[in-house]
Amino acid sequence: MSTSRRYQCPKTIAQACEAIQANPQAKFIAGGQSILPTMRLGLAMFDEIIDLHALRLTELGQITRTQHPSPTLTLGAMTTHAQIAQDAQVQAFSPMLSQLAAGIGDAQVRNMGTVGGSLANNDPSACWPAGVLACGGFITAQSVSGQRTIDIDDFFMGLYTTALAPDEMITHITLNKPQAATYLKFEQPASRFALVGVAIAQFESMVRIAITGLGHGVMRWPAAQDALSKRFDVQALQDITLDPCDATQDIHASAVYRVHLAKVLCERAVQSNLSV
Amino acid sequence: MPSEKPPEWRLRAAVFGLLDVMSDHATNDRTHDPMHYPLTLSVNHQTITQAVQADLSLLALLRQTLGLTGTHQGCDTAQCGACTVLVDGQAIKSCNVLALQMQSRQITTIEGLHQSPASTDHPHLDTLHVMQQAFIEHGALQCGFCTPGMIMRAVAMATERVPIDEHAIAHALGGNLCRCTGYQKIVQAVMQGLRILRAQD
Repeated sequence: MSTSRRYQCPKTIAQACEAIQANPQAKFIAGGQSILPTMRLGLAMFDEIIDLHALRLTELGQITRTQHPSPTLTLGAMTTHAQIAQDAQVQAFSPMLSQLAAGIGDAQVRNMGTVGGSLANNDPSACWPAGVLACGGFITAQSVSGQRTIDIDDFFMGLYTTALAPDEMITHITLNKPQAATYLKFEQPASRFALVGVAIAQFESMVRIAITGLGHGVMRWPAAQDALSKRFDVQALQDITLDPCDATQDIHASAVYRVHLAKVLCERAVQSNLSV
Repeated sequence: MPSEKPPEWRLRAAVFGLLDVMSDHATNDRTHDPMHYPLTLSVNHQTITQAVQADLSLLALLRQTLGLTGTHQGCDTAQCGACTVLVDGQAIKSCNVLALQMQSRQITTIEGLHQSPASTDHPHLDTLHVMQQAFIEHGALQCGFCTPGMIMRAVAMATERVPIDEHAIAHALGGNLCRCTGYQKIVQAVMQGLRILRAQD
């Protein structure tokens, strides 16, 4: 089969930004683990690939920690799930993030797939959106017009949609350090995507909950957060339920089942946090 | 630019997979020219330089361009793991990476395993890798379609922190499907192969 797709492999962030600016119909490929199957099925509508693989050799492939003014972890957008899963700094910062990374897809996918690619794609069943939304922090994005930071609370805008402008790329993800955190997912057994996944992060004065897999994209659960912020106990969730309107239905699960599963996972995550 | 609806003969041609041929002859549109990009990588310790198209997968490069058909094409959508190869020692699914993403990387396929240092001098199986021998000794294959992918994934485990117990191995093999469901013997073979490989290090 012949192809009319063009290809570029920028060596610097600046070159990557110029390439997407020059052709808005182009597509960034980080690890490619989500976009390439789409392309294989003939569903991808772009005429040029901007392959970011060379940027893994820059700061985009690195993980750093800072302590001041508050402890944060910064993941370069091109760090792979496998790299994050094995990183000692990540483990020391929040074991939840290590476990989340180690549980994505399978070993082969984790060796190619990147955190930046996953967040920019914002698949409604992906693990990373839940993990980073529970921690909170900011995403650094770059385009030819310069660099800006986006609060993680403002980043996810529903099904495959983010606050990134069409010509922007994620360069870094900076996360706040929770006192304790847990990510639990119930895997859809064939695809191993989260049927539902729940991340709970405890901070000094509040609890943040992020749920993936419900169908409309990752979301917070304010009612449960409020209840758990007052009293971090499974009993606090007793009278709180998610509305099935927050979920969608497909051949794998009904909306009612999904929201039920989210609450069960939430309760288990609370118990797990308490036992740390 | 306004575009006209394609004539019916072109739609019919597309249905029969003839569109590319037809459009090349029917129009003078340069955007339909196949474009090739330079790629240099190492496959089984041999440096390969090729000009390839943007969409070409590593799997297609290995099987179709280089004739290395030991790497199998299964689902072609990163689910079955039959196409697993090593990239700088790490297992990846070759159907789900572009050949061009592998610029300057070192690829090892099932054909290249016997050249690796883990070879032994068993009298009959002297060219096979320890993990291949373990699969033979355990009869860890039925139809054999998944076997190259299983073995490549298992070889990569030698340098990972995968404990040698049934549950951990089965979990680490999660990205490889055996359509004959012969997992029991596969897991046993991987455990034996890993014991030997790790003892050698």
